[in-house]
Amino acid sequence: MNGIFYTYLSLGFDHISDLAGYDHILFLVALCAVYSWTSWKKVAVIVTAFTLGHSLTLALAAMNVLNIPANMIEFLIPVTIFITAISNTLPAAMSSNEKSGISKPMIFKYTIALFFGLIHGLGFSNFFRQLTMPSQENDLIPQLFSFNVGVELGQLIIVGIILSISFGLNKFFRINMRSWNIFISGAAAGISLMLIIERIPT
Amino acid sequence: MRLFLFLTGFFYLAHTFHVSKTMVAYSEKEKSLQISVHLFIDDLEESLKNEGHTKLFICTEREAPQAEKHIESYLRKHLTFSVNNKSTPFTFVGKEGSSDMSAVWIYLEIPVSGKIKSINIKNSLLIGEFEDQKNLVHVVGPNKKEGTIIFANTKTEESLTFSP
Repeated sequence: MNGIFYTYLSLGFDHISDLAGYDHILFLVALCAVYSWTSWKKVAVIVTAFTLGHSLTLALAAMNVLNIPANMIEFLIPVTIFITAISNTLPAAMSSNEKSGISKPMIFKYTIALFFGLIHGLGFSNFFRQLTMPSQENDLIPQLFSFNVGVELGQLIIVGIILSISFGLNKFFRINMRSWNIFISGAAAGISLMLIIERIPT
Repeated sequence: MRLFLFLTGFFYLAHTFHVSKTMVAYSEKEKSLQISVHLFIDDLEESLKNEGHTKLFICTEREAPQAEKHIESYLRKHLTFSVNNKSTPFTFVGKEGSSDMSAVWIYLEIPVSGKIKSINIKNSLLIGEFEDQKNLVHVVGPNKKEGTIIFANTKTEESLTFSP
């Protein structure tokens, strides 16, 4: 028997890292496809923007301030993956990895991470709402906090794995990052397109 | 074709999650454990279908007369409690649909005499049907000692001890 912190942390961690519900993982893949460990600072900003977005809507939805039909959100989540993947192949995005500092493509990337984070947070809330018990209304804030910490931990591990794969392929197999980006973005676009078709709200 | 079926199965998994929640609260006044179980109706019907019970239409106007009996026997098989190392079968109090009718709340009660020293819970609800099934059980025991257990296919039993 565990307290709120450990219980909700493990639920948050399992939720994002669960391979059966891989849509959030796929979004992180699309978001980080262009980067390897060498540009970890940019990735840190992108992931923080995504986190700000999803923490905000998760909290609002959990407090019933926001109430958006689950099937709409489940449809929009692969849309965010598809747009992110396609935007990776735009000429501006392709060169963004080489430029340092704050460039227009980077601002675009931070913005979509934040904005799409809002949609993914609503997705988390569909799950989160099923976890809360009627007798625990007063514990909502600690539950939300711990769940977010769990999501965050899972997210960091997933991003770390993605960056390590790109880094390894680039360093040891001399795979060009541009080719890798197109390959991964194409795969993410294809998978998300199938999810979009499947989840068109009826 | 087989690949296509595999893919659609794979993608179907992406938007579903399987969670049940159960509250177990000790009432000193009533001298009983009061239990509420929240199960998704579609998941529950799927499990009962695997036992050969179809067309139950749980919590609808068309609900089959036998539905409640099947739910009760399913619960007796997959959710058991032992208090102070003695098997303590529950009394089925009743059930009602959740506010959005996607789930059912089932109410159970276990009379308890004397002090509770330990509670053993076995929970395998829907775990046979859904690989990713998680069953949350929140316990408020004697002296307001409380906590949550997450049951899953890797863990279907837990023993709790309470100090006097």
